[in-house]
Amino acid sequence: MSHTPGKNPGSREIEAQLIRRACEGDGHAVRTLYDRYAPRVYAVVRRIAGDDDTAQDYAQEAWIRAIRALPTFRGDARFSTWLHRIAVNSALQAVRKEKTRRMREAPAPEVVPVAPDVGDVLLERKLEAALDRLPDGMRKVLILHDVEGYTHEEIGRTLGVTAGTSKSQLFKARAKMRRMLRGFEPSGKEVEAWSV
Amino acid sequence: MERMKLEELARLVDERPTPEEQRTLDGDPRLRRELEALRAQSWSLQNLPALLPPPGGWHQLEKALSAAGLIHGQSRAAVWRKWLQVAAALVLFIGGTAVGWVTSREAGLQAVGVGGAAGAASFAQPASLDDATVLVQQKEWEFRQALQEYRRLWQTQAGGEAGEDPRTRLPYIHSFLAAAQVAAERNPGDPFFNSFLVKVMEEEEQVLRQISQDNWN
Repeated sequence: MSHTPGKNPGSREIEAQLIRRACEGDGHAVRTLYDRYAPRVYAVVRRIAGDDDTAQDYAQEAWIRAIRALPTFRGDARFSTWLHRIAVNSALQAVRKEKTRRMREAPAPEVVPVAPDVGDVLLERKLEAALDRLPDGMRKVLILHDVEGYTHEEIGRTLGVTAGTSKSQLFKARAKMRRMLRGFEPSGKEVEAWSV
Repeated sequence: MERMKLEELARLVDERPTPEEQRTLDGDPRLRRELEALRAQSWSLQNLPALLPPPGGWHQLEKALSAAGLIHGQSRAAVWRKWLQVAAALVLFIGGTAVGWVTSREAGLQAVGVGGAAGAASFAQPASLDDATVLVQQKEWEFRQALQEYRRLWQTQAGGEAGEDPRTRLPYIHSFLAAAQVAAERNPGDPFFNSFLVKVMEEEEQVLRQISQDNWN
């Protein structure tokens, strides 16, 4: 019985009013929507981006797109779901654009990000740090499936891959995460792959 | 099939094993433990909390939206509301600091660097209303982060004892929620009631998650 903004009829009506006003350019209504949903939007783009600086740019871009597209929001889905899709698509598109730009500028092999010091931190932090260290493709699939609850078909449509590819990336990502969470040598050498 | 790769086990997190895989699992407790660990990992990922955007995020976005002509300039009422928000945030911050200080004293810890002359000396002087707003947002964000961290460490060290039983907190949160919903419905444009409602909803979600996690464990 969890409550989320827009779930009960009263809140939905309030939200519908806010959206109408935001469509008319009312900055205050936009601010209220931002206050409600900024953590969720930021969370998904941060996990896709893999670092804070890039995530800030992606989040801003996602919000601008959403506010621009607001007149097209018909209310068939919940506003949070609609906004979430825009944030995911916007971040994925930005990642693709950035990758293309990097490839054009420097065709050298991609730089492996420095592994953050996970040390003796709490589970959430370890998970976030391990997510940041996953290769791009695996991270996207793992975030969309395990964190955001997309199906493989939806992931396939969003990323332009088959559902089968999405599945195999997911299993690899889960296994890689598990290895990282079990132990990671600073040299970058993973602990021996687990099999019995 | 005598061996199973971790990738194969990862598939079994949400898919049924084949009879052969099931036999392998039945015959090896280490495999079963590893599968449980993978399931717990997916569950934890599913329950990762939302992340607070860095302070000043709205300020930058507002500029970009204004530049793109997507929102109008601020009205007098908006400026007045902003002042009220600044005042409210200051009250929250000062009140929160005081509560934090008292709590840490009660816990037998030294309140190092909280409040006092050193804290006041490092407080930057904002040059404009916008700067003041950003500063308050930043301090509020830092305060919330610090409080969250304090809570986590406290729960870790105290073993989650000392009155933070989520089941005890839930009825109070529901009372706040009911009041906040009525207030927001009667004053739909009111930023205080709306943000209060959202905060209580977030808290309720966190508490419910904590309860379900306790049950799960």
